[in-house]
Amino acid sequence: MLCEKCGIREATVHYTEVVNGVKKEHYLCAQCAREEGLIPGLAGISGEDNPFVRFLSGLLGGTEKQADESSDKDSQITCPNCGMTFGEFTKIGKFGCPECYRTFGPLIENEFKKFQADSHHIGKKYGKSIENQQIEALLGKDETSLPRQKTDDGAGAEDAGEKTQADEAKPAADAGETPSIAEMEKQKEEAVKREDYMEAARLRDAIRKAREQE
Amino acid sequence: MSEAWFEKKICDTGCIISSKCRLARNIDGYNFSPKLDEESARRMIDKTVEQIRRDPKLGGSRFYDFRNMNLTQKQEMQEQHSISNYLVGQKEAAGFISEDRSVSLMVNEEDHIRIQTFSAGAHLDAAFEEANRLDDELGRILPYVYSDKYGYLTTCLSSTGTGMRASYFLHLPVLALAGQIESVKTEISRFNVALKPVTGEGRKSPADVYQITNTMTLGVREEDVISSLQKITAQIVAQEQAYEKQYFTQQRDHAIDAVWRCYATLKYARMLSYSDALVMLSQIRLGLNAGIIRPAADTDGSIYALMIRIQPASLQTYFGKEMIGDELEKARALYLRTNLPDMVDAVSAQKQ
Repeated sequence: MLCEKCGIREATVHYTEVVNGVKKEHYLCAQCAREEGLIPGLAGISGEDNPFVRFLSGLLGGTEKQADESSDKDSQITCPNCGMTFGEFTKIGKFGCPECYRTFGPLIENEFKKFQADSHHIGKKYGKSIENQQIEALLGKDETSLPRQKTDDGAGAEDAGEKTQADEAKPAADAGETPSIAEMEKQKEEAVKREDYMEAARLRDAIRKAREQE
Repeated sequence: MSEAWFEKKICDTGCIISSKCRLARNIDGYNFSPKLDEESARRMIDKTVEQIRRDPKLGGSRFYDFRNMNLTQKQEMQEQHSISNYLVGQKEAAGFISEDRSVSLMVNEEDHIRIQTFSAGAHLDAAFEEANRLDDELGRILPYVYSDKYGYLTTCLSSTGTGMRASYFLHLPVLALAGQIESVKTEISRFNVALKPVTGEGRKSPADVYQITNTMTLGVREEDVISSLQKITAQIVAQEQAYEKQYFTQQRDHAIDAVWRCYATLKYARMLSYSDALVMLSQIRLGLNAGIIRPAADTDGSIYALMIRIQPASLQTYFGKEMIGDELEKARALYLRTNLPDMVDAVSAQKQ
């Protein structure tokens, strides 16, 4: 059965409306039902009902309509990977790809702080972060081929020299007190956090060497 | 098939029907849902499913693929909380569900991966532990997108960070009767939790079943979110219990009469709308908890399971035919006449 409102999509939501004692059956698709506020569970979590989205729309001039206006400079900022514009992002409150976080993240730092506890993650950790992958990509040692890295080619070439410097720095580190692998891992994480990728790369190589010697 | 989590008797005990935890994760190498075309989504689904199937630790679950399912089958799963509303709206999707339907893994939801666990009764820690265990295993075989700064990168920025929504399903019949739900909502919003209706078809819950959920995911620890949710829920439960006590003291005759009238209608009606049936089942659940009625004999299943199974797709599957309108209402009434356990007076029994 097709949705009675749009007549295009399959009706997936069925509800009964009682007006003045007269019952009426309705069959709507998920999207129209959502627009009518009939799908419990989604309101307040995603889409236009999300206060976060309403707030973001306000960032670009107060209303969602204004957010669409191409005259606004910020709304034209575009994710180099998926092509999502900041205007589009503020309207739907959804990212198009991981690269969007790098593109739009700095623009919504304050909003993150207002709607979330902070703009920095303190919960469960996961092995390989995109920041770590970025270092590997810059050093040309990344084995994974990620779509976002297509824009990093230039930077990768520039950093070839840094890699040599990092390699040179390595014996110096080895010559002094040799910290444990765990310590170096910790230092590497800290280096990544402060975006000191040179130091992080040096530590990574030192860790690798230490592991080989074990 | 083994007993579903929502059939467990503990779902009928006290205000807390169940505990739920969901984790949102995305896989490296693919755009997120707003920019993921159908072809890429299919590739992502096939590859992910293949990797999961190869992992012996993740085996033992039922696999489904939307390519082999009709709309009623998808809706039935959604009605039983096995998959989300969002997933039902997806053209391409697949996933895994445990036999008791307490663990669900959805592929190609708003995020590439949604891990969802249910636990009957007040066992949020157990639901979280199960989701976390599954997440550890999946994270080992799938390359999640994770940032040191933002945590787990999710499609919606309201999930960024932990990607976790922890919740309880609460039955709050007397708070609802007293018109207190809105004030509870306002009160708890200060603590970054939200209350929303679960059953029913709109903004209100005819069954008085509400879901309380955390709203923050970034800059918070999972354990702290859960602990805070437990404390706030305990407050709401205490309020409901206080209201129930007052209701069954001050309006005792009316309260008892309401339970029995609802029982009578459920046992004898020939047609029942979904929302009417929910209103009455809510009274039955309240009557059981308040010691007004009790089952005449030991029975399987829970009242909450009846609330789930009287939805359109579940009824159509049960009776094995497509139904709408009056036919569906007749089927619902028949289902309830047959499956609602016989109840006896628990008040007189206490006095004797």
